Amino acid sequence: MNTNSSINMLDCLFILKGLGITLILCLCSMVLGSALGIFIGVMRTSRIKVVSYLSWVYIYIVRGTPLLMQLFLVYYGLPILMGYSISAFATATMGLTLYAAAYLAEIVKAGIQSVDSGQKEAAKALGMTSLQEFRYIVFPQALKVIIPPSAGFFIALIKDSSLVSAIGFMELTRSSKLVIARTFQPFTIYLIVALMYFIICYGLSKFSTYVEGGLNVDLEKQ
Amino acid sequence: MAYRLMFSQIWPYLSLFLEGLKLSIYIASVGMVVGTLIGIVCAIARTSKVKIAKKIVNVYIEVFRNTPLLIQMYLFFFGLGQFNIQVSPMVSALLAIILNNGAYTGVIFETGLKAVDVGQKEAADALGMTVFQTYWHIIIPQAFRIVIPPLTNQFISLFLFSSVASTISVPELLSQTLYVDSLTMRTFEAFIITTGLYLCITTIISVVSSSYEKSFKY
Repeated sequence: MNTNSSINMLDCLFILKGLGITLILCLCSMVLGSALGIFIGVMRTSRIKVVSYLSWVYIYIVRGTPLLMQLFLVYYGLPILMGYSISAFATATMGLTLYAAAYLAEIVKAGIQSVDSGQKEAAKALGMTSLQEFRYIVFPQALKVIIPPSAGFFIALIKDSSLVSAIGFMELTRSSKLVIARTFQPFTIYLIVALMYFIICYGLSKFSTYVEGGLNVDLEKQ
Repeated sequence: MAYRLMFSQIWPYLSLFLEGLKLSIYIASVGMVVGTLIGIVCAIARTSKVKIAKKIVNVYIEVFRNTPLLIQMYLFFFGLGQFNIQVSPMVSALLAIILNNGAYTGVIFETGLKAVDVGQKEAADALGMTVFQTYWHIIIPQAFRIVIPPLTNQFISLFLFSSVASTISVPELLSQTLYVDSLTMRTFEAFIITTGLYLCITTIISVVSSSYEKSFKY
């Protein structure tokens, strides 16, 4: 019995659309996650014990539990708390943002701590407010330490975003499932999908090593 | 909307959580032990001078590190069905996790091997050790000390990502949580218990590893 039907142009377009949605989802989550991550990371380095402790708890819980569990918690839990459900895209973005924020906060914290304390003292001596000190002195220097691991995290996030398919959001993995339901060719389709993830992640990681190489040369020249 | 936590409805199902946890730990442990062995072989191949071995291992590592674990699991579980090969959920989950972990630990061990001073290898050669002896007695023990912190992180992330197996209906901790949630409709209680269990294990792993690492310092 041959139940296989061939993969046609529409299937390919459908999967490509899923790829586009995956990328948009990851970009949104990364931007929002960076904003939240910087905030939590700065909180982590705060001298006020309660603030620092709160951000430690957040990072500890998010980094100590699986992403898939967090996604399910947002997916099932949010409608209960709010009384109404939000769109699949919002749920997925929220789940990935909260996840990314914890990891990025840890990276930001390490970046801020890597800045020499003499820099902060010099900024104080120049009469800068603590906001100016952070904005013009600490953060630009921390950024050099923050960017390489953040790029690595972004690449990992693209792979991890495939888990969003489990809560029913129609991204790359989920759309490939639908095409499989029609064509009955799971191996071929998943191989194509794996190839798409591979091209993007491998390409991005090669690109980021290339850019970082350039960055280091610039630093050495200075 | 106010939500009142009522753990009393969850307690009868506690044994399901613990069973799930046992399975999660089992998956992660098998994945770590077998994956580490694969990783060591890969790392030796990557640092060797045999070109073909280097190339094959490179492809393996890049492919498994740059594709999602979920897709790897789907390829084993659903994909092989296209060729009428039936693989059980547990076996496909283990295969995917072992191969995925092997690629990651491969890179970790490679950095470890490269960090061991060349003089150590030369000294072992000068003492007339065979290649196997050199690796087993001299290089791997020293490399192992260097790789404990990254290996611990990998083990924790492997344990967390064993939850992906729930998507192909392996009854591990997350599957059990979703099952209990569907039975009792006590979503937050179920997830709080699961969060606690995951945090327990990840904390134990990192505490044990850091004390083990300290015992190495002399």
